[in-house]
Amino acid sequence: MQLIYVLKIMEVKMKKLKGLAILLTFLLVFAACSTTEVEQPNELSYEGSLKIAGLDSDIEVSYNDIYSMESITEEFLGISSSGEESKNTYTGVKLNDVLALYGAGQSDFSFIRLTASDGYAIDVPHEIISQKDIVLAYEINGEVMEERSLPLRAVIDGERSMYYVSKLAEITLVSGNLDVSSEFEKIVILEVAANTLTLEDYTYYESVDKAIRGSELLEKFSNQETESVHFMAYDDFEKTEMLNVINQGYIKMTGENSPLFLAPELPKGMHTKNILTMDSGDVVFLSMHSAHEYFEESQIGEFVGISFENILRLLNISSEMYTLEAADGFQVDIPQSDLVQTIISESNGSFRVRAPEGMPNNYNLKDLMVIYPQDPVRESQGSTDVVDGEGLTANWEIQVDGLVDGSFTFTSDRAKSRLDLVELNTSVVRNDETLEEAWQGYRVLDVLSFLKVEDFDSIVFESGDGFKLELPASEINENSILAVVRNGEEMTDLDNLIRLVLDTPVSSNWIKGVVRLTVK
Amino acid sequence: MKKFLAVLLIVALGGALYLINQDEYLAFVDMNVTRMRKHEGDEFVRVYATKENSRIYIIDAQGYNPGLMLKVEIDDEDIKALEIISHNETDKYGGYAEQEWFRNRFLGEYPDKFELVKIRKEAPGEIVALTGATITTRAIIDAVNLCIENYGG
Repeated sequence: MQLIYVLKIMEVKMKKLKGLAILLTFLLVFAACSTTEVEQPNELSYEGSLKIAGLDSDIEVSYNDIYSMESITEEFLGISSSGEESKNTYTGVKLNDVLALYGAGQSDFSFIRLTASDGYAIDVPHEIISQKDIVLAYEINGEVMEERSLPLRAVIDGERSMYYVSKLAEITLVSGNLDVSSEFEKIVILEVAANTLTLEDYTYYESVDKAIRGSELLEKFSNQETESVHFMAYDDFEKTEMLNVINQGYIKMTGENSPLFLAPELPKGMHTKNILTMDSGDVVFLSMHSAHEYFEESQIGEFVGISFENILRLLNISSEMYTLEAADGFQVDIPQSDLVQTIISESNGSFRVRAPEGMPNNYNLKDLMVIYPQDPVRESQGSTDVVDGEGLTANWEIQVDGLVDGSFTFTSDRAKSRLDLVELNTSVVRNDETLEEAWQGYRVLDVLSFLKVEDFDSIVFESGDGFKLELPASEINENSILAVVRNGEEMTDLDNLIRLVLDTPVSSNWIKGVVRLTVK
Repeated sequence: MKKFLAVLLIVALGGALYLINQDEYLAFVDMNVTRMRKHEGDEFVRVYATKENSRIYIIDAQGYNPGLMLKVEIDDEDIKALEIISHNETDKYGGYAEQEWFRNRFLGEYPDKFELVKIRKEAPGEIVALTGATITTRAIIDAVNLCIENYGG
């Protein structure tokens, strides 16, 4: 009986166990299904909007709206700053598809600026945006991106990683040319120019290098107000930087990767290394150190350097005549036909022009700092007294002595190309008669200014026959000219090609045939 | 047999307990140190006193990415050592913190508080940031300053 009872209990228990097992199985299955539902990844969602500027009006597109747009999944090749290539599969939306909603496309613009929420910004040039899609990606290799890259990462196939902007916050579409001038009025040797500015210590990784402020460089050498500066590195990397960024930054002139543009608040990815040229408005700065990396060396005699021909071709400059100016202000004019045969060589930190044998010695200018391409025709500066001197044919020379760096030969060609021809009407009493004459010539003060004479006590004017006249500075003014035209006719008497004419009632001090000026 | 199994179990448990209580950070310091538990907590993962009367801190520095752990040795006069035990900083940015030339900026006589500068050092106590890695530098400076403050307290 007890055995039967026990068996009964066991039977009941078995039934319960069986029921329990069925119930447990059911629960497990249910849980599995529920788990499957719970484990499905949530749809990507990110608060905020992508700002797009540069359309007819600035717009904001929510990140969630972008996630819900038709996407692509493709493999992209990325290139790191060290040249390493990597391939990843990205899922995202083409920027062109976003812009199409507003009737625009990438290739409508000169460049597109991508800005991250941490301030990092990079311009994608027209050459890229006209040929390749910028994709606004949010998945990589099948997985949603890490938080550090979200909400969006710009990716461009086959391009450097600097364009792969994570945490994309703003896109700026820029049309037109941002102050990039191809007609430079001045080429400045960056290393020489830097030495005229304050060189500050700048810690770069483990070394303390020397740097100049970008604002000081532009303030001293640029005459135009511009909005941006364009960089080109010797590996052909190009970048345009806004002026406000330049003004906060430094150009590191020594050490690794120099010349290098950087700023304390600028993300490292926005530094521009190994600058070859930087241009702003009418001035372009050329780094000779980078030029040595960029060009093959040329040789003249025992000297090696960079040929001027290569430099002019790089900068797309062509002019009949160039004025080369040294750091101390000394100048020499060289026609293009001669200049392209010369090289710039470095010696003890100074850059010197080396000309082939047979060319004038003064071509071998030392400590070259600035090259001015000359306009074929010099335009009037707007003064009613300035006339056109293009028709003048007489050739004359005036030796100017007493300058800081010695003597200088001031020629008629130089006067025509660099100075304004002005008019002076005089009224002189001679033999109780008033003689009124019209003169055209070059202001003495303009000649002195051209020769960088800032301060003087007197000038001695000497004629070809040896006669000398010393005039104190107080008697030399805007109406003291070296005349070459008298009453509408060019002065062609070889003994009197150029005459000192003053705004005085008597002409006794008007030296004829001036051949020498001595600055005291 | 049962007794043998019991003894074996006890030995095994004892061994497990020993392993659990082993201080893994001793691998980064001289074994002749005394742990100062009362100074530990928050960022201070471990604090040890050495026989040379210096103190060693193992500190979590809260870098650009989690996992920046430092070892700082300090005495009455100098920061005697600064080492990066582990980090997840980006190699070409904060990763340079491992370089001796950067860590050397902290060594020697120390101020009440190190300050971060970005271009050049102009005064004692200034630490020039790693190029492109201001956040990592700031994290290390803050961590070392905490050690200075704790040591002085």
